[in-house]
Amino acid sequence: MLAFQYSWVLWGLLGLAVPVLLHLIQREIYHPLRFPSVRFILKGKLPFQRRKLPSDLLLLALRLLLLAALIFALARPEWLPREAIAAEPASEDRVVFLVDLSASMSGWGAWDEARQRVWSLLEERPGAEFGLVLSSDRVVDTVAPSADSSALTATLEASEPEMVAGDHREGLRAAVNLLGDGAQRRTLYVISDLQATAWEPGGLPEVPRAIDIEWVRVGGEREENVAIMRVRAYPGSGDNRHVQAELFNFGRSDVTRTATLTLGGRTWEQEVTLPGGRSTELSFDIDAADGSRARLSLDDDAFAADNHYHFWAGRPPSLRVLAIAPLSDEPAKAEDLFFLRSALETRGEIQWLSFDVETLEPGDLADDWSTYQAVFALGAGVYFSDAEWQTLRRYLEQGGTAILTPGETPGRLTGLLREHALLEAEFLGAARADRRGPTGLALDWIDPESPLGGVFSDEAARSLQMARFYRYLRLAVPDGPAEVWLRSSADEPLLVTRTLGRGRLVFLPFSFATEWSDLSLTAGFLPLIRELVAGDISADHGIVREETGFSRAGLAARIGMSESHPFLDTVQPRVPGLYSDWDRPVEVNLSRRESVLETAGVIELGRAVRSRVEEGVLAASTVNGADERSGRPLWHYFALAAGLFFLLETLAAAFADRSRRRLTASQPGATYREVEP
Amino acid sequence: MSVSLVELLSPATLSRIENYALLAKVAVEGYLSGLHRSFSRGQGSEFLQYRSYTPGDDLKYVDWKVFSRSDRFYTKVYQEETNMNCYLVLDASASMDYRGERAVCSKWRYSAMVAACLAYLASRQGDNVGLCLYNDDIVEMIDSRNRQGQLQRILGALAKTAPSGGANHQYAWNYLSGHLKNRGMVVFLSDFLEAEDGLPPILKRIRFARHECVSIQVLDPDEVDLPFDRATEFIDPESGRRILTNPEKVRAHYMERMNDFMTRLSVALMRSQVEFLSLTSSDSLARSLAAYLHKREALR
Repeated sequence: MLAFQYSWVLWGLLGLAVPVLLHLIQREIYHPLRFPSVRFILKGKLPFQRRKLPSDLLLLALRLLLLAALIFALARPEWLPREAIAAEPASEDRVVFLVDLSASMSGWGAWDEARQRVWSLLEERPGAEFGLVLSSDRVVDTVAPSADSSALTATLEASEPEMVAGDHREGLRAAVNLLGDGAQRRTLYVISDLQATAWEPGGLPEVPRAIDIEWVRVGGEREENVAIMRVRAYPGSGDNRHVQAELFNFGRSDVTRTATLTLGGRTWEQEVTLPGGRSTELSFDIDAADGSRARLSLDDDAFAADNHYHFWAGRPPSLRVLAIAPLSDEPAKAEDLFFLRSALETRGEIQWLSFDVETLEPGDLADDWSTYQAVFALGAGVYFSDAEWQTLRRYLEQGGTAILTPGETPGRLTGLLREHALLEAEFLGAARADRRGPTGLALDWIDPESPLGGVFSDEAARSLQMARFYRYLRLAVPDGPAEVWLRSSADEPLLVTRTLGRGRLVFLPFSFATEWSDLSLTAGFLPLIRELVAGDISADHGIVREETGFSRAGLAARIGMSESHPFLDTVQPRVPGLYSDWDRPVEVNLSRRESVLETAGVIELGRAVRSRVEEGVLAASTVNGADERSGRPLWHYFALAAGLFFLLETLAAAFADRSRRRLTASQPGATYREVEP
Repeated sequence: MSVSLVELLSPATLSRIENYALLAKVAVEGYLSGLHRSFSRGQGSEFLQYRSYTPGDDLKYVDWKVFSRSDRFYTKVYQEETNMNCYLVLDASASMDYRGERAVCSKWRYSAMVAACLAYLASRQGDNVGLCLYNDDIVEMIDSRNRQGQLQRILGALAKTAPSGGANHQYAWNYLSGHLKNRGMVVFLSDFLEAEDGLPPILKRIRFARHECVSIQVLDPDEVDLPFDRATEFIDPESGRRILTNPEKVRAHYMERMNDFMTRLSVALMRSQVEFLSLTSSDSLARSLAAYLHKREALR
């Protein structure tokens, strides 16, 4: 007999009345046009076609057949042979329940329904041995098959869905293992909401054909769910914070929700309307509150677990900067270091990013600088070993930023840069200016196309232009990969840069010491250094974001710490929250894969766990309110028929249009009518 | 093969350039080079006066002879530091969003290209340039200045604006007249539909305040001759009014009423001593640039 997997789709056949009504009304659709000068247009007379053509009836019939074929195809028809319907299972010896414990089971009453189904199945199968596997993203617990179901009952009653996304491959394997081998009849009941993201057919382990599988879908028809997908906090104007959230309405209907932001003991509320099937942006602009631990919540719906999002609303972690200064060989570099630290370690209310500067000398450097946001070599380049030059190159290629300044042997530095193929700039000599009177070169030009040009404009540029350079290296920079971003009033380069791999090398032909220039004394020095170090850093860098169910080893690797670090003991992988007892906050939230409403089809699941299909009957079967057995799918025949009807309809419509045009041109009796706007 | 000036300034060429800054530069520099005239940039050539040196002043304009005599710093000030104010006023209502089959761009895009070129030209000459975009409200208002980044702000506002809503010309122009300062030039870009009665008195007031006015009307070629040949439901994008008609039957009447409107508008503006330029969105931009330069010369 013919059966349908999604029989509710057949209600769409009522929509077939629509083309019939349209045919009866027969209103001609005119070409609409949005036109500015409508006030000058007079309403006029239009031709009116009275007679219906025979081709109109054919078109109507084809369109009805096309719609009907599509609806039948979408209802997923299948043919159930008599044997599959009439056959009753033989008496069973062993039953294992694989019960879904993922987060989505906490919504739509699914968990309570799952337990009720287990209780009722226990009573329906007297004399059998019953076992249990609880599965979320791992095997949570197992109960070996036994005639005494008390242990199973106690385990089930003590369990609750976990706040993790489901992955039941291991659970399915564990259930098959519990059923064991033998000639006894073995039945596996999979009791789950069969959420599509947790039950992807690809990758499911094979279940031996000797084991009967019954798919028990719980949780009912899911039509509505709204989830908070992500929340980010950014610096706002002044001391304010700007919180940006993305919400998604998984249902089809528009809904209105109240969003509540909690931070530092204060709350802000906003009502938001979410169109069905779409994401919506929501933002809060709040004055700076004490505390950085924030949470955004929505009023509860059928699935409450995705209505909360924990996030860090405070300053991001400090950026690490390495300053390499050859203090043993050139003690005067202490002055450079002083000005650099002053510029980077200034922490003001409006400075969102902060820096931690670590100072080392050449020879004491590690061979991996990847944890540093930027590296300053303050006259240190000439003291680098070959290995340190290679480390610098690797660091640049991996995306680092290195800023080099000269020391007491500047000519040698430019030579080393050329030798290591880092910068092709020719040293023309060292320039000195008389400091008496208004001498010294000024900074006269900032490349407007560069990142500095965007930052230093108008008044900000004046602060840089007030600096004077008394000592600097005169460079010739050939055309090529190197760019000049700053020039002096003598048109000589004051900042040369090039990209290397994913990183950037910056060469300043002057030192920060006041003997060389008073740039470090001007108001422009701090923003210049910060822009070179962190110009492209996002406002929420350094914040670690995890989905529940992450592994300890994975988190340790991501934040660059040992697996035995005590901070990891404070982070609970299965509990959403904000963990900030360390210098990098860790946001842990439930994966939104648990929020989708789509469920997996039992026919596909049945095929996925079998290696081949027995002739006529699938070994997989479903229990979904009423007993059904899976049959041969027929949807592709209806889809093919829909394609054929579409092709015929297109041809018939073209023919009808041509016939109408001939009629309009030649028919003597056609009348015109006045059309009111 | 070089591109002729006519081709360079045609909307078909310029509308292919998405970036307004590049578009304006290409059009204006091409136009000026075609005129074989040199236009000064920045500091002018006629010395006006001295003023005390301010840190950050360009050292090229420090008078070193004065310094050697007096041991004090003075910066020379040239004639063109006293720059003209130029306001570009664009209608951003929904009627400007129309683009017919024969046009390469919409009326709004054409107006924005003209405005971008005029802004570039004004900025290039060291003038203060500002922008006002309006529909039934003021969409964007940028006061006229000549500081770094002003041109980018204006071009950015043009690029991000999409026409919508109705056109409240009275409100916008009254608002604008309260922002005009010193003497300068105001360039209006609109289709001026529904404005033939309200606009001339306002422009007269602006003229009395000693500002030069240029009104540039931008229409689509379809609005000039109603070329459609099938039954059409015309929908006014601002009022939503709908008219079902056969354009072939009503074309003659339409053109008569359109010509009548154009005549009333041009006569009213002439009486208000405002230069009036009527363009379609397929016309070369050279006419707009010429009108601006002509008025600019008048202000010297």
